[in-house]
Amino acid sequence: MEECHASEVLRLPVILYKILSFLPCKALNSCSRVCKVWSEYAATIKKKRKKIEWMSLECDEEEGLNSKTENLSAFIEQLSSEPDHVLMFCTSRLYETPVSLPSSHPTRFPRNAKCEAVEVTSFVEKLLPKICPMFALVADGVVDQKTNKTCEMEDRDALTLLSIPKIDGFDIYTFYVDIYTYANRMDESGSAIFEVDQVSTVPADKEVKAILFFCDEPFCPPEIGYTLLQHYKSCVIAGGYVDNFNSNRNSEASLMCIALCGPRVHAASVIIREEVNTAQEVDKIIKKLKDCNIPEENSFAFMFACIGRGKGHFKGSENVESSVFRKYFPKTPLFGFFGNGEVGFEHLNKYEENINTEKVSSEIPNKPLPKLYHAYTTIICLVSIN
Amino acid sequence: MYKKIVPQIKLETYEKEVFEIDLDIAKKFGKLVPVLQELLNDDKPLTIKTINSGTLKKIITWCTYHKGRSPPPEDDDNRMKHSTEEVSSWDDKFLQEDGQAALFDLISAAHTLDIDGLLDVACKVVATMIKGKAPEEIRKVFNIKNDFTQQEEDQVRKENDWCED
Repeated sequence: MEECHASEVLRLPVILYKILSFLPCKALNSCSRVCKVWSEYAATIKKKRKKIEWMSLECDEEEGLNSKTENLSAFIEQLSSEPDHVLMFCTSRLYETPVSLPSSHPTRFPRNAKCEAVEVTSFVEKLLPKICPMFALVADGVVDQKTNKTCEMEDRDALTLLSIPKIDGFDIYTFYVDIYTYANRMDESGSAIFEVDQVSTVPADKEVKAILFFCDEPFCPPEIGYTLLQHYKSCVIAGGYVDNFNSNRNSEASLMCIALCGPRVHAASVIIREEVNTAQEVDKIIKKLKDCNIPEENSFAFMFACIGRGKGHFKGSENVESSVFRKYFPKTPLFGFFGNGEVGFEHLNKYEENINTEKVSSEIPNKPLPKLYHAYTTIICLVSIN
Repeated sequence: MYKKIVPQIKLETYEKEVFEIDLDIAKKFGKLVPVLQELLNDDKPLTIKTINSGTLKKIITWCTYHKGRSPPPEDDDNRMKHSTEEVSSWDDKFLQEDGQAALFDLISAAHTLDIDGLLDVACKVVATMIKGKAPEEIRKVFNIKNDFTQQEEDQVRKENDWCED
């Protein structure tokens, strides 16, 4: 018998395929560059993986993120699908406190002491593929999505990362609205659809299913939301006012819109109003979202709540809204924040297979526009890619 | 005194050494399952020329250790299937202690005999060896020839920009 060398065993297709299938995306990319056969196998495996992945970290006030940076890098190194877009929800204190870099981090230069501490957003950005945009939403509280538990972190520090891979039939476009230019345009002409059209990066042939709306300027003119709704008929709008947001934006625009588009996207939203303060009432509202029959496979959801809600609003009970959500959607990860005002409306887009989208969009314009801007409410927005 | 007679089958390795293997261990060898009854009745050993004695010994030890241990639970939705962290420290040490050549002999034998659990865990160990290595290092460790033309290499580098360099 000849001696069994690694390269001979690795020539067996079943074995090479098995080994490579145990690797996360970043290591698979390295394998793609080894030789032609490996390249082909790695490409096949990568094509099959289209997973939404997430992580969350809860941080101690004293320590901050310093002892947790390894977890962040490990999460990114272990991603099974290549991230195409990353969303980060982070409490203000974590966002503002620089983290020290582990010695292996790509931005660390041995002779440059200044580079040993950076903001958490740049820390994460440097670990991601160069072309993968990351958006950080910063607020006083965030929703902490652990593997099998969801916690509303109102007074403790936490950070969550959501990695979205490139999925056929699902496109994400981001654009920014400068609210002052917008306000001027409104004053001049009474309409700003043109302005939104100018700044929007969404190609005309893409169908916008949902717009995530994040503003870090409290004096944002409320008409913007309506302009978006007029422009992108029948889409879901959900979001709110944050302390800060960070993205690779060039402008100082204070409104960021993340448009989720494409035939495979299904989105629906509900609003939990100020007067709702018992689990039973929350249950009724989230059940309406459940009754839309949107598949839980490959779904994720957002909860944008008012900083005044949460525990204080529910007579001291913690995680009331997120627990009800968890009950109806056990497999859907929930992300979000406790912010300074919410944007959204009840939009119960029923899921039907082979849905006739044209019919739906022609109905909406005749309806009066819903109230979009709220205080003391919670907006829950469900997104599913199928 | 009463001694329980354990049914056994006989396998002969590349070195012509004959091993007597308990039936409940042999049941783990997927390839042998259809012929087990025959082997039990037959006194002549089954010869497997592609497996050496050292490797078969390892396989028997591995199957004995894992006998009665339930396989790890199926991954839930967000846990990554590829996760190499779930290799137990016992497996990790056991599979690596004799060096790379022995590990690949074991993989080849686990494949020949169709021992799913062992093949999976051994492949995970190899995956761990690949992780964190640049393409050139991977080629060196496993003795693989770079068969890309310069042009192809540039292209594949561009398409797989996010990797260990």
